Amino acid sequence: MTVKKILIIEDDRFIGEMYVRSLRRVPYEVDWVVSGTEGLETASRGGYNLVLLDIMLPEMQGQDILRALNLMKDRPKIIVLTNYEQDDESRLAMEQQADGYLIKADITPRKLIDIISRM
Amino acid sequence: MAMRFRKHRTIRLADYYSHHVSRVYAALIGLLVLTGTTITAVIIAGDFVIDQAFVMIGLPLLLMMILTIIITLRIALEPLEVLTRVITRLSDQSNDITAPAINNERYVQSGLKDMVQTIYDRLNSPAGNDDTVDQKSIQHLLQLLPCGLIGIDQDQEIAFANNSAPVATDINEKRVLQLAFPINDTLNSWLTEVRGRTITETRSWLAVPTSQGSDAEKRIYDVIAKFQRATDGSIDTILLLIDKTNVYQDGQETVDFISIAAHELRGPITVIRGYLDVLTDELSDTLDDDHRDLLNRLDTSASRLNGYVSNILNVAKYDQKHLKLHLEKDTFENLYGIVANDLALRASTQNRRLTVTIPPDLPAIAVDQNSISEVLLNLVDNAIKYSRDNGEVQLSVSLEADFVKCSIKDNGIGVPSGVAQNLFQKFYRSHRSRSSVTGTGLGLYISRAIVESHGGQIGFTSTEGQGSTFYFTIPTYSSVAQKLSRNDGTNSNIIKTSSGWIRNHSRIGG
Repeated sequence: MTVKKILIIEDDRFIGEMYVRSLRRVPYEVDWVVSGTEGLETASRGGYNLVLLDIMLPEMQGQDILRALNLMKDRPKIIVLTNYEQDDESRLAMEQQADGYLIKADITPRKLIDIISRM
Repeated sequence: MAMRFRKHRTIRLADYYSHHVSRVYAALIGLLVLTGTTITAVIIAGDFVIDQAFVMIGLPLLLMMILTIIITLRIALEPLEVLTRVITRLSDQSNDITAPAINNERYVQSGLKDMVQTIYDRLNSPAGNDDTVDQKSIQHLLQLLPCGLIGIDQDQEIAFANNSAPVATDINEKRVLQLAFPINDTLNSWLTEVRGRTITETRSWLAVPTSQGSDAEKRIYDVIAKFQRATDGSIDTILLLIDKTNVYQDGQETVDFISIAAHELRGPITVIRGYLDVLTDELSDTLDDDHRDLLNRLDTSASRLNGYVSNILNVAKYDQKHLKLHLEKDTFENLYGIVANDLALRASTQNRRLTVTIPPDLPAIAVDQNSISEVLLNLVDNAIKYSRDNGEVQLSVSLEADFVKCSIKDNGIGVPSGVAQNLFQKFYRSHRSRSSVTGTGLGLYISRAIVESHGGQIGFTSTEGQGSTFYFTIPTYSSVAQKLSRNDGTNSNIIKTSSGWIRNHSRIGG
C-alpha cells in the first residue's frame, strides 16, 4: 500500500508544523490535529494510509489511541513518534502494536520521508 | 528410636523384641514344666493310685487346665508381641523383623488391627509425627521469613505461600500470584518451557512489580525460582521473593526524573534539527557552500547534543538495571547505514576524512540497532574529537571467529598509558581532554555497557602522540540464535563479561 494521506497527531506546534511542511512538499496529503480525542475522531472517519502518533497528548494518551486504531476495520499504518522515554515493557508493547516506533530527536524530516516512502 | 531401661542402659528394639518373645515362650514352657512336676510329685508323694476315675476325669481336667493356661497366655501376650513387632519395624534401626499381618481376621475382630493402624496413621501424619514440634517450628519460621516463599505444584497451582508472599485468593478460592512479570518473559512461560526440557533449573527476575494495588501500595520484588522435576504431583518449583521496593523506587525516581528531563531536552533538539533539515532542503538551490557549511555545523552540534542526552538516559537506565536490549538479526552494513550520514557530516564539518571499509560478505549479527548506533556514534565522535585537523578516521569491519569486529582508527593524540585503565569509568575524563575537548565522560562507559550486554567486548590500542584504535565485537547471529530463540530476542544468557546486571537478564560464565 502506497502512503498518500497522512494524519499527524502531535501537540507540539513547532514539531507539528515542521512535519506538515516537509511532508506536503513530497507531496503527501496531510492533516494535523493536536489532541488525542480529536486524533481518534479524525482517524475514525477513515481515508488515512498512515498515522504519525505522539504518546504524550492532551485528553487521551497515545497508548489508548493506538489500541483503538488497532481495532479499526480499515486500520491505517501507524508510526509512534515520540521523545518520551518509556519503560521497556511499555515501549515493547507499543512497538508490537505499531508499524514503527521512532524517537523524534533522532529523526529529521527527510529521514522520516525516506522511511515512509519505503512502507 | 530407642528405649531406655534402668541405669539408662539403651538396647536395640529388635533385641528387645527377641528377648520379649523368648520370655513369652520361656514362661509357657516353665508353666508346663511346673504343672507336670507338680502332678508327678503328688503321685509319688501320696502313693496316688491311678485308678479308672482319675483316668476318666482327672487327667482330661488336667490337660484342659494346661491347654487353658496356654491359650490364655497366648491371647494375653499376643497383642504385646504384635505391637512390639510393629514398633520395632517402624524404628530407624536396622532389623529383619517381619510386619504383622494386621488383616488377620482375629486381629480385625479383636480390635488389634485398629490399634496397629492407629500407630501407622499417627506416624504418617504430621500431627502425630515424633517430629511434630520441629514441623510446627519450621512452619512458624517460614511464616516469619522476611521474604516471600511460594511452592508451586506440577499443575502450576500454588501449594504453599507464606505471609510475605504477594498471593491473593480469587473468586474460585484459588490462590493467585500477584506479580506482573514482563509480558514476554513470564513465570508460567518459563515453567512450561523448562518442564519440557530439563530436570532442574534456576533463574531470576529482577524488579518485578506487584500486579494489584495503587502506586503507593505497589511492591517490587527480585524473584528467584528453582525448578526440580517431580513425578508424584508434588511441589516442583520454589519461588523466593525479596522485597526490593525501596531500592528500586529510589532508582525508578532517578530514571523517571532523567526520562522527563530527556523528554524536555529532546523537544527543542527535534525542532532545531528538524528546521535545519527543512531549511537545508528548501534552500538547497540558493545556499552557497559557506552557508551550507554553517547549517551543517549547527546540525552536527544538535546531533551531538542529542547523543549526550541519549547517553545520560542510557547510563541512568543501565545503572538502575533498567536497560534492556532486543537483539535482532541484522547486517553491519545495514546498521552503519542508519548513522552513515550523521557520521559523515560530523567528520566533514570538523575537517576529518572518514573512510569506511565493510566487507560485503559478513555474516549477520545479533544486534540492538538503537544502542549499537549509539556506540558507533560515540566511538567515531571520539576519534574525530581527539584526532588532528585534516586527519583521517578509518572505520573497518572484519570477521573474527564468532564475532564481527569493528575498529575505529585515528591518527590523533593517543591515550596516555597512565589513564588507560580509567578510560571506561563513568565520568572519567583525562586532565588533558578536560582542557581541550568537550564531553561528558559517559560515552565510553555506556558503550562498554552496551557492547558487553550484547555479549561482545570493547577495547583499544594506543600510542601516545600517534593515535588510537578503539574496537568492539558483536556476536554473529548464528552463534547466539539458539539462545535468543529461548529468550524472545532479549539478551538473556548471552552476556559474558558485563560489569553490571541488565534488567531481567542473567549472566553466564565466560
